[in-house]
Amino acid sequence: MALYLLRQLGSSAVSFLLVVVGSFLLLRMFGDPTPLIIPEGTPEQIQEVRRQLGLEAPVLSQLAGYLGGLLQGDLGDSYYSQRPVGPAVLARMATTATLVVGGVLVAVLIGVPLGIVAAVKRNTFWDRLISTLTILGQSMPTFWTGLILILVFAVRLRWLPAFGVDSWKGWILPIATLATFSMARFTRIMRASLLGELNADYVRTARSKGLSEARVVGQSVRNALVPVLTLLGFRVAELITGSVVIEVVFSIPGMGQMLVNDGIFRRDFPVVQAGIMLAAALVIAINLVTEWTYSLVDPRIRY
Amino acid sequence: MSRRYGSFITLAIAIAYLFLGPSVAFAQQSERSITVAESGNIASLDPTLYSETAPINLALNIGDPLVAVQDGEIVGVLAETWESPSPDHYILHLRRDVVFHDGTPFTAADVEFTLERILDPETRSGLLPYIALIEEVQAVDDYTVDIKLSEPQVTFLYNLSRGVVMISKQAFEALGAETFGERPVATGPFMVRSWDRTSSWVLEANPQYWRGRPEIDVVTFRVIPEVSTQLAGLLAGDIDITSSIGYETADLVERSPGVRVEMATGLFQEMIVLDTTKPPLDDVRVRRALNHAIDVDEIIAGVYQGRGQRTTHPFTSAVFGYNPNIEPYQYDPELARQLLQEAGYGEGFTIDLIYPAGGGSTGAMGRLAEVVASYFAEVGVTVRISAPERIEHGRRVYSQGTMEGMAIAQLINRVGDADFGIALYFDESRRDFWFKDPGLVGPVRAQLEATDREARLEILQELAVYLHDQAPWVYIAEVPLLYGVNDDLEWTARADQTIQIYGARFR
Repeated sequence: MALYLLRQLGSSAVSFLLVVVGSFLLLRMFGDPTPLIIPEGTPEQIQEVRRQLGLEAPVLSQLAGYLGGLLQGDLGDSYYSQRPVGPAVLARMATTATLVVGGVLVAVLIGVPLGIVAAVKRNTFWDRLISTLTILGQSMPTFWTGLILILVFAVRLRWLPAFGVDSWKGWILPIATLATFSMARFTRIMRASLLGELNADYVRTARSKGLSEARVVGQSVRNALVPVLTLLGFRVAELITGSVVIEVVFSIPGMGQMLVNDGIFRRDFPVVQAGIMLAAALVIAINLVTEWTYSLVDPRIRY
Repeated sequence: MSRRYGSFITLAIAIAYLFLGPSVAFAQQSERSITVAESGNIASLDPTLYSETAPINLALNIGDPLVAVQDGEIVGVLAETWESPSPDHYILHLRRDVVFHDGTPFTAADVEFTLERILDPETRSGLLPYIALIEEVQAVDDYTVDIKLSEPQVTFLYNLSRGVVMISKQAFEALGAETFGERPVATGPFMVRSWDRTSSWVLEANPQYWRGRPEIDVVTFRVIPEVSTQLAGLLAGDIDITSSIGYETADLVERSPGVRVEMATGLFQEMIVLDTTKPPLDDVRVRRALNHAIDVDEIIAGVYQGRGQRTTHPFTSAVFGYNPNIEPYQYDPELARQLLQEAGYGEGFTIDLIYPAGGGSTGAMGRLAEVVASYFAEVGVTVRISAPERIEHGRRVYSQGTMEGMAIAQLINRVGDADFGIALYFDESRRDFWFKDPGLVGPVRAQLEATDREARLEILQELAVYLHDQAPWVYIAEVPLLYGVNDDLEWTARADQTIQIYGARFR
C-alpha cells in the first residue's frame, strides 16, 4: 500500500512538471503581451516594456528562471498589476472551490437519491420522469440556465441578486445552475450501478435467504457508490476549470474569471501560468484522493 | 373607556414611532448611492498607471486633469490659463483654490511629480504614450508649470486631457507606491472609500471639492464582464449605469420600463481598414471600387438599426479637423466593377476580412462583415471572413501589423482632435502599418506645428479630402456609444467613452 502510494505520488509529480513546462512554452507562443500594457504605445515604448519584463531573454532561460522561483514558492509577478500572482490566485481559488464543491454536493445529494429511486422503480413512470428531467438539465447550456434563473429570480421576482456573491443569497443561483447541469450524470451512473448490484448473484442469494428488500437495497447502494465516487472526482476536477462560464454569467470573482479576463485577455502569462498550475495540482490531488477512497467504500478493493 | 382607548392610541403611535421613526429619519439622511457596471477590472487605484476604460473612469472620478476638451476646444480644469510661446513649449498657470482629498493644497510640485512619474519607464504607465514628448517639466513657482517638448506638438494639451489626473506628491511619498495604489490621494469629486480587488471599488463624495460637492454620495463601480448580466442587473434595479452596450442590448433596454438608453455621438466610428501596402489594395482604384461597392445607407439602416451617419474620412463630426463638405462615395456597383477592370482585376480577387469575435463594443461587426462581403461579392471580390478573438484582432490590426487584407475596426477619438487618429493610422513616424503614403508626411508634420488654429483646421480639412480620395479605409459610419441607465438618474453619456459621475443626480 505504502509503496503503491509512493509510486502514485512520483508519477503525479512528473505529470505536474510536464504541465508546468508545457504550459510555459505554449504561452510563449501565444503572442506578445506588451502592446496590451501600453495600448497606444509606439514600437520603442513597447520594446522598453518587453525589456523590463524580461521577455527579450531566450525562452529556455526564462523557463529556468521561472522554475527556480517556483522552487522557492514564487509564482512571479503579474505583468499588468505588477504584483505577486500567488496570493491573488489563492484568494480566488477559494471562491471557485466554494462554487464547485457546493454545486457538486447539491448535484450528488439530489442526483444520487434520484438514481436509487430510478433503479428500484426501474421501467416505471417514475424512472422515465427522473431520466427525462435530469437529461433536460444536462442538455441546457450552463450560461442559458444561468440567465434564465437570473431573469426569473432576480429580474422578475427580485428575490435574489443578479450578480456577485456579496451575501449567501448570491450563491444560490450559480450553485443551482451548476447542480442542474451535473445532476444527470450522477443519477444515471447511480441507477446503472445499482441495477448491476441488484442483479448480482450475492443479492439473489441474500433475497432467497429472506433478507428484506430494504436491507438488500441498503447493502447494494453502498457497493454501487464506487463508480459515483470516480465520477465525483472527475466532475470536481472538470468543474474547477469549467466553472468559468458560470463565473462570467453571475459575475463571480473566481479563478476562472481571473484566468480569462485578467490572464488570457491581457496575455498576462504569470497569471495564466499560476491558474493552470493550480488547476493541474488540484486535478492530480483529487485523482489521488479518489483512488484512495475506493478502498474505504468497497473493502474488496486493496492495493 | 375613552381614556383607555386614547392611551392605547398613544402607545400604538409610540410603538410605531419606535419602529418607523428611526427608519424614516434614516431614509431621509440615507446616502444617495448608485452602482456603475464596468466590463473590466482594475489592478490598482493609482490613477497614473493605466489607460483602459475602467482605470480611466476611476481616474476621472477621483481626480482632475489639468485641462479637458469641451466641444472640440480645450478648457481649463486644474490649469486656469496657459500659454504656448512655441509649439514645443507650454506654460500652465494653476488654480489656487484646489485642495487634495487630505486637505493639503494642490501645487505645481504635484504636477511636476505626476508627469514625471508617468514619464518614468519603470512606472510602465499606459498613459506614457500621451505625454511621451515631454522633455522637461518644471515647477517654476507654486502655481506655474513649465513644460518643454522634444518636438513641436500643438495638440499637446489635448493629450494632457486624456485621463492624466494629478496626484499628491506628498501623499505618494509618504505612503509609497504600493499603499498609494490602495489609497490614492487626488483632487477629484470623489474619494476612494473601499476596494475589493476582485470585483468592485466604492467611491464617496469629496465634501470639499473645488467645484462643489457632488450630488451623489456614493458610487460603486462593479466588475460585470457579461453584458446580459449587466442588463439583468439594470432591470432588477441593482445597476444604475451599464458600461457601453451593443445595439441589440440597447433595443432591449429601450423596450423595458424604468430604464432608458443614453447615447453620445461624435467621436466614434466603425470602418474597414485596408492593407494598402500589398496588392491588390495598393491600387487606389481598387480601394475606391470597394467604397463604391457598398450601400452604406442600407448598412446603417440594417446593421446599425438606423443609429449612425455616414463617414467620408477618418475624422468624425465632433473631432477638430472634421470636414463637413466632402461628398461620400456613391453606391454604384457598375462604377466599382469598371474601376476594378481598369486596375486589372476584371476577374475579381479573393481577400481576407477579420473582425473581433463578439462583434466589438457595438456588437454589430459580425453582421457588418457578412453584409459587406455580400456587396463585395456582387462586384467580383470574394471575401474570406474570420473572427479572431478580440485581443488577437487588436494585435494584428493595431499593435503588430500582421493583418492580411482587410479588418473591420473602430476608432474612438478619445481626445477630440484629428491628430489622435492620425497618430494611430497615418503617421509613419509614430505608429502606422497600413497606409504609408509619402503625400501624408508634409501635412501631418505641418498640422503638428501650426500654431494658428484656423490655419491648422485648414490643413486638417485638406488632409481629410486627401484621405477621402486615397481611400485607405472603406468608410462606414459614425455611430453612437450607448448606455443603459436607471430612469430616476440624471446622467449624460460622454462621446469619449468615459463614465463621469460628477453632475449626475436623482430626479
